[in-house]
Amino acid sequence: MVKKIDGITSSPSSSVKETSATSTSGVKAVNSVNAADADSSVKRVRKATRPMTAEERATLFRLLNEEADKMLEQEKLSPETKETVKIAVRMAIDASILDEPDK
Amino acid sequence: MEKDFTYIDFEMGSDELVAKIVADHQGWSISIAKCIAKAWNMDWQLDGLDGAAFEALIYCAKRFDNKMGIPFRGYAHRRIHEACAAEARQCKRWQYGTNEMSQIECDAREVAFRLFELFPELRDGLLPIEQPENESLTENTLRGSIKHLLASASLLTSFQKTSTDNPEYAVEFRRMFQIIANMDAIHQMILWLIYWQGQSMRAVASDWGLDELAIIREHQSIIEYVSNRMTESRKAKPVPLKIRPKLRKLKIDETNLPFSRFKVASPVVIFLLATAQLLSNTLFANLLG
Repeated sequence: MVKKIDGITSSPSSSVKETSATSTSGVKAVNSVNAADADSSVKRVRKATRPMTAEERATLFRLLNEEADKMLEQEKLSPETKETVKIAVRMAIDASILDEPDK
Repeated sequence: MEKDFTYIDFEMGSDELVAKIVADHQGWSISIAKCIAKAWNMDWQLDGLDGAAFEALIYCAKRFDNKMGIPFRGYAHRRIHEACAAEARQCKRWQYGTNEMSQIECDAREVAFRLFELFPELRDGLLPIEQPENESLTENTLRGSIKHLLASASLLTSFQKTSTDNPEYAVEFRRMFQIIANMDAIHQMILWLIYWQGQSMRAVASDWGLDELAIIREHQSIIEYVSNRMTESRKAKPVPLKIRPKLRKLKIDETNLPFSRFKVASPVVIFLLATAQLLSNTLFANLLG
């Protein structure tokens, strides 16, 4: 025999919150791993050392001559001093560029 | 940085590793020696640059640690270059030159050597300029870099020449010194210590209780400022160069700055001051001698 329970007048405790049942959704297909794009490679702020071509070297020294003439024109330096400055920078750049292919 | 797997199977410092590295990179190290010799009108064999390169190569091979993830050439390039340049500076040809332009050539070599100390990235074949990320090297960036080198070389030459016993050089470089004299005391001191006294940026930073990077960046700003001032017209009003927050805390005695006398002085006054300085130096030397 089933006894009927009655006489409960109070509402359910407010601290107990109803939660919706966790529903499951269908499992999506796993994406395959693709090869990295060519564009997504890590780019360095400065380029690695590489031998310069004769043309690039000529361009660099042309720019050096132009900038030296422009810059040292304002200074009332003797021609020897101007030449010293220009040759010094040229020597520094020239000594830093490897012009022989790797052996 | 890409990892070098060439030597992954060898133990660091082992004879096998050293022998393999030397065999693989001997030609490359000699090409560095040849490159320096060619630029400075020297002989890579007679002047001993090949020996210096080989010694530096062995030194680097013994200390190369593959686990650090740096390719050998990236690790060794600067050291081999430095060894070759130091060897070149010690030989007789360095002081005497090769032709009728020998004095200009010798002075230029000395300035070029100092440029390598001030811009160590040159030893790696890189020009001293910040190339923005994702941007290719344009002609403007190249020009900017060359201007930095020219300004620095001009400063070095001015200090090199005024250290000789000829007061005329003080007049020749008066504009340069006026530019420096109108800079902030901290900037004047940085130039004085690095260019005149030949101190390294690390030493200056250590003396002032700062990190090296602060001095390196400030030096870059100073050089950019000087190169801009050199190219603009004399009548242009200069925009003052700002000081980085880290350097503002420093206290420099502004009463006796090395360039203060050039601030407003005319060429005649500069010449007289330089002559007086020279005479007093000679007098003291005679008295002490």
